[in-house]
Amino acid sequence: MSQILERRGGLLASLDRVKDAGLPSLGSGGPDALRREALEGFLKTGLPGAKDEAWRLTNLAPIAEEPFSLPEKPAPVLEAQARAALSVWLPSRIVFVDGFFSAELSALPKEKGVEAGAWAPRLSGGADLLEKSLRLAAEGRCGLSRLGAALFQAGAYLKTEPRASLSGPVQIAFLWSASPAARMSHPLIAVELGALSQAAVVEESAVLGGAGASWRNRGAVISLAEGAQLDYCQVQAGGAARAFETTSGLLRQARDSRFHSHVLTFGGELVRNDFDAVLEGEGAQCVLDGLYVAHGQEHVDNHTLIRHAAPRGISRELYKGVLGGQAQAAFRGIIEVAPAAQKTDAMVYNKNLLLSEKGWVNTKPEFRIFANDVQCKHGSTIGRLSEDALFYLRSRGIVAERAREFLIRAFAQEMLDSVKPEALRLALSRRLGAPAEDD
Amino acid sequence: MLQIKDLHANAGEKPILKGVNLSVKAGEVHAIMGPNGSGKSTLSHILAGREGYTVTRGKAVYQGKDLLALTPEERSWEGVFLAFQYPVEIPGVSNKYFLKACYNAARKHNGLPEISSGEFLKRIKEKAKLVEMNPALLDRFVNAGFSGGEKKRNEILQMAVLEPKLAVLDETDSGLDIDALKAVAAGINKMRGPERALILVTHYQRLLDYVSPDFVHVMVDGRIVKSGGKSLALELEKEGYGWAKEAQAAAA
Repeated sequence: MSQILERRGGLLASLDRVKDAGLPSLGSGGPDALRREALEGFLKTGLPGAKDEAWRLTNLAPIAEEPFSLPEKPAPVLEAQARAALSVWLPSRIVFVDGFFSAELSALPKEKGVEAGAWAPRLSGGADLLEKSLRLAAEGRCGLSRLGAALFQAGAYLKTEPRASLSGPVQIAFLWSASPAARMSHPLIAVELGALSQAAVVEESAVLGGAGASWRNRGAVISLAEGAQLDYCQVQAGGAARAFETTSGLLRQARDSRFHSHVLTFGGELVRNDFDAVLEGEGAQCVLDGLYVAHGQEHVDNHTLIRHAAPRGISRELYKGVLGGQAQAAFRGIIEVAPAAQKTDAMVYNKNLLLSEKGWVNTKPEFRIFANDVQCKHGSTIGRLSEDALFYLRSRGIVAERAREFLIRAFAQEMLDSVKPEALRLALSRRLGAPAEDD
Repeated sequence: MLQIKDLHANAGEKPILKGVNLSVKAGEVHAIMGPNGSGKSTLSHILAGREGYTVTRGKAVYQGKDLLALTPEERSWEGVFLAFQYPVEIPGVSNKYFLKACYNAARKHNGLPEISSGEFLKRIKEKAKLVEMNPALLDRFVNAGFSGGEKKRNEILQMAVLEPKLAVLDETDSGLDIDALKAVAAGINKMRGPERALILVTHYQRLLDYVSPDFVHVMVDGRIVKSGGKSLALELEKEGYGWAKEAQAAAA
């Protein structure tokens, strides 16, 4: 214990503070007991380290060394500030500031067959979902998810009845106010779609400024019943300040359900996204699209695991990365095909564009196949901007710097093509630099 | 307009151009023909400013300026245009937007205000008609998924929009079926004018059936070994490049 304390001094100090102060109460015995369990579990193992194969390429020491603490209350954030920091401002939204639910900034969806809201920290609904989600997080293999369950303060949930269909996406936004202090939050998101229902979520995290580091350790638990369809777009906006992000997602898909995610990372001092999907039902489809753009000293690591457990599942995964400066990226995409999952059709690709000599990429798409009648393809590439293409643009009068922007867009744009709604696609497209479309 | 004098250039250590002399005046159409590997594409790339070549001797003067001292974008602003043999695909950037960016870059350089979107749209629609290009291609991403013929036609459209003073067309006829070739040639012919010089770099005589050159030059092993009128192209068509290579070997 003392050893861990020495190594993880900063983090544990704030954790002890939370423990002493008592965990934020949920008003019911069940979840609180789970959280104590998760905390004890975390204290035994601490944060994952380099000895863990899955964490070989991402060193969490910068997080452990930062004196993160849970904010006692959120700083006031005006709607105009929130809107300016986020890519979109959707009619249905659940907004968090400094880890706390903001009723002023939020507009909860009110639609037939849809239950959505925040646990913040008092429960207004979704208690069953919270307990399930907390249990999964608490039992998670990774120390981060146990820590998340222990220090959880607020989160969002979305639940649909069978055949319900949301008229538009629900935005879940996490904002950090400008502050000199090092702050952390451990939000949870739960999405449970009933049979044949349909929904879309746009999740975005952004920092409003300030010199203090921020760490969002976010867990998500998603389950799709038969024939349900979910589009999930996760935007990590980074920002001027030192943003740390660790996210983990667990997805379970029943028969014929369809899941399409976009994980779009535009910055962050250290970003690690874990995503585990299980295609439990026959004919489930899982599409994972990703784009990471990193500069300076930023580090982005995406780990995905898609488990095909039933026949005729389809998975399509493509992550693209653009790396400048001394940025580092890691990608690991594992696809596991169980003996029962015959006729699986799976692809995983990772493509990287290195803009500088000092950028660094480690990429490893991987298959573990235990069935014999399957179609699986994987591949990865690391390339540089084409001199021919640069010359082409410059010979048309486009200055070299602008020409580079055009080519970065040419590489990255396809990852945004299927992003919805349109306003979000356009806003994200603008982040790629040179404008794409005529005004 | 353009004087190339004793131009020598290497790609890495390898000499490619070994003393090219060429003089082009406004209003003229020159064809440079030659076998594969003769250096004719290299010459066109060097004129447009492609990096990766070292000029070891000689010079190229364009409108009284040292052309080789300019960056590719500066050459473009000054009115030099290269139609590429292999135009590059730029997904994510619309053709329309790209054309406008190119057009405004030159205007900015020349101290002119940027053109408005509405005005520009009118302009490119006219130009698209001029080169018989499907206007739907204006809204598509630059060259992305275009057929070979569409890509070449897009090069000619870019030329028509930028209205260069000196245009070098590198193997613009390669890989085109006869209908596409005719359309591209028609576009080129519409670009002929007293203020503009064209250099057609080509392996085959085919394009010259539709675009009649004032001068034909034969390039072999990094030098122009013979120059003449349009009839020279017909000679080459009949006799191939064999004689030129032999003459070159005998001289060396």
